[in-house]
Amino acid sequence: MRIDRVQLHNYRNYKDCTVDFGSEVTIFIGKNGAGKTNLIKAIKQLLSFVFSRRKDEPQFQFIASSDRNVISFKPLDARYGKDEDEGETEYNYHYPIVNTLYATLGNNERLNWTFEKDALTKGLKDSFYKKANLKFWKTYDNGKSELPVFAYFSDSYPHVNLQLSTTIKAMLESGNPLPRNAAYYKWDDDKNCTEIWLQYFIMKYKKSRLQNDEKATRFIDAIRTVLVKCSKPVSVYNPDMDIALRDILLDFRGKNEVVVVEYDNGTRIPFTELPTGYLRFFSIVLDIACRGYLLNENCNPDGIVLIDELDLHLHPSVERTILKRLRTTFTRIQWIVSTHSPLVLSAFEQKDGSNIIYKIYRNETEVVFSPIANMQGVDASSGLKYTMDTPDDDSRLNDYKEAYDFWKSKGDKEKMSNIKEMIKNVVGEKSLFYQMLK
Amino acid sequence: MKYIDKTLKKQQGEQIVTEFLNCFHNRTKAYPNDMYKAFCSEIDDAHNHVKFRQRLIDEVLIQEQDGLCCYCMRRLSECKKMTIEHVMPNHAVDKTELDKYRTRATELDGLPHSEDFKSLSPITYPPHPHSIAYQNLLLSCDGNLFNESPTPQCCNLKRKHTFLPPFVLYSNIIQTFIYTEDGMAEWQEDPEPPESKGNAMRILGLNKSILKMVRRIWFFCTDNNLNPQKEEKDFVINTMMGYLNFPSMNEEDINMLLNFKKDKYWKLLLEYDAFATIKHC
Ligand SMILES: [Zn+2]
Repeated sequence: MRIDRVQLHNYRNYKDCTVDFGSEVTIFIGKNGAGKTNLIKAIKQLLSFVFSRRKDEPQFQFIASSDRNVISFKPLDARYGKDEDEGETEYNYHYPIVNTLYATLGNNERLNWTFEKDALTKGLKDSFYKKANLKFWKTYDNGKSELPVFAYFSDSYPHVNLQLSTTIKAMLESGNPLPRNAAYYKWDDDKNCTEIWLQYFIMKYKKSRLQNDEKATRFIDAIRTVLVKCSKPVSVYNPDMDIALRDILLDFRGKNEVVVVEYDNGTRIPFTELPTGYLRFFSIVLDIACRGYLLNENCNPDGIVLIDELDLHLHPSVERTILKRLRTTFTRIQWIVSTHSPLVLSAFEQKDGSNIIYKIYRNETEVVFSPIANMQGVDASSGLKYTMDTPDDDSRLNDYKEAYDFWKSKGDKEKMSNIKEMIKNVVGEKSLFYQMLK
Repeated sequence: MKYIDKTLKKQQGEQIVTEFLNCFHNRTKAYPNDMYKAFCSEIDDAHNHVKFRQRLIDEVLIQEQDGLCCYCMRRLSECKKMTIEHVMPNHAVDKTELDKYRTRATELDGLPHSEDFKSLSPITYPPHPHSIAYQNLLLSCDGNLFNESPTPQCCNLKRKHTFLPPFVLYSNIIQTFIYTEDGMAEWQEDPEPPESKGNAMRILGLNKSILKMVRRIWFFCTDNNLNPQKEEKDFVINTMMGYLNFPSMNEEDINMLLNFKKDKYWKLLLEYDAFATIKHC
């Protein structure tokens, strides 16, 4: 499943806004307060259409034992403002709030649905998303076939732990496999679910080792493979991560069993004590892998992952490569991420339709999403410089330019056009950089 | 890789190893448990401290290989440390594994496994135990291209103890092992059964994109009468850029080429000057 477009009306700081998503990656770059977090919140809420719990609906069986439900708007979700151009003299909450999401399901069927609330005292109009809900569950065979993973990582992730409810605690202590719908447990929460996954890993690990439980072994091996894989070097000219994992296993610290990671050099440390700079990355990978496995018994799920501030709390060696690492580890996920950091983009290739980068900023009256033709295509001399520092790899374009000028000075048209072709391929025909070549 | 002739300096090579064994035995009245470790240590020979390993390197191995890494052809004097490559792994767990080598190269035929050496009766040598036998020893770079990363990128340390046919002891390697114009190392005809096809390059990391580019630049220079040792690096790379066209080179290749505008990459390029005299296909 992937989402194609979101439209927001009167939602938080958005009066009217339409944003198209890349089928693989969408990146929002912008300062704090520009509205990145609100956008991600809107998407999260809209995705809850899947979890409608009406008894007469076919998926009820799947959803009923979970904690999921459709999420309504909160009072403060209505846009607060004074629209002088519409003659308003006072600040007001504006209604109706109308948010719509367009999506494509696994079988390429398209659908869209709307969450609408007409006034503070009114609820969501369920007729606006019911059709989409039916289509979704029909496509996924009422939950019998492979389902998409949803995951969300807030800007505080993973530094706030979720308080485990007694229900989930009991489930973990029972020694029984978690139900399949646990894959959606608190998926949209700001807090992290790491503790659940680690407890589950311990339980499965013991089953695997003490009882030779084949299913448990498969789970353990799948999780280990993913965590090891995501720490391996991604390419020659990106610096390796300082931490490469060799394994993830169980160790005893005092009386307690602890999940530990083993570095390539043999050092072992508890997962939760991974250095800052790495913990967020590995926690994200663990979370997606566990949800994927619970849903479909594999760690390369289809699905949608939202990450607010992708670059936060990352060691520079991870920051530069996180996007590439995530994408090679989970090849079927659609990534929607926000960031401050040009470093995140340094290894990012822009591709029509599949990858989109938006610069997001506020002018006096509204939030503007402006697609950046290519991050690398913007150089200082063009007079168009973004608010953040340009990445190191911008020097790459200067290298191209130098080679181009070298042959220009020799008046060799054929060589110039060779280099121009290469530049076109890197930055795209529409980029300023390409068009500046004369 | 190129053929390393282990017959030319055989006498000197064997002489040093024999001296080592004699000397160790004179001093301790026994032969070492760990042959190679003892060979690497300093032996106290009648108050003369002798480093046999170093002697073998200086007097024999380095000359035999023209100062180049046996696999990637990097100039060994530029490596942070050079390493000894055991053609037959020093710690071959399964002794029969040695047969896979012995049957492939006559030079290795007859070398006993080090663990069996002490139970020979009588103990005579040469042939020397495999972990110190001169015929089984080559010089390799440490795979540390910029002398900074702890993870070996190529050659001996990348290989570890993996089985690898003794290619560099095959006298016909010059016909079978070739480089393409874009720097790729390939087998013209595979000297080994199909299951090993391509494995050697992977085991040794010889087609790492950085090494491919090193060779590609050298070949380009040779073909166009440029000398990287004399020209400015920017001049060479800008010239080369004009000759490339998309899509014969993808973006990743171009990025790699442009890396060579950095001093440390250029320095590495010059350490592979052996490619100035090697022809591509
Ligand atoms: Zn080498």
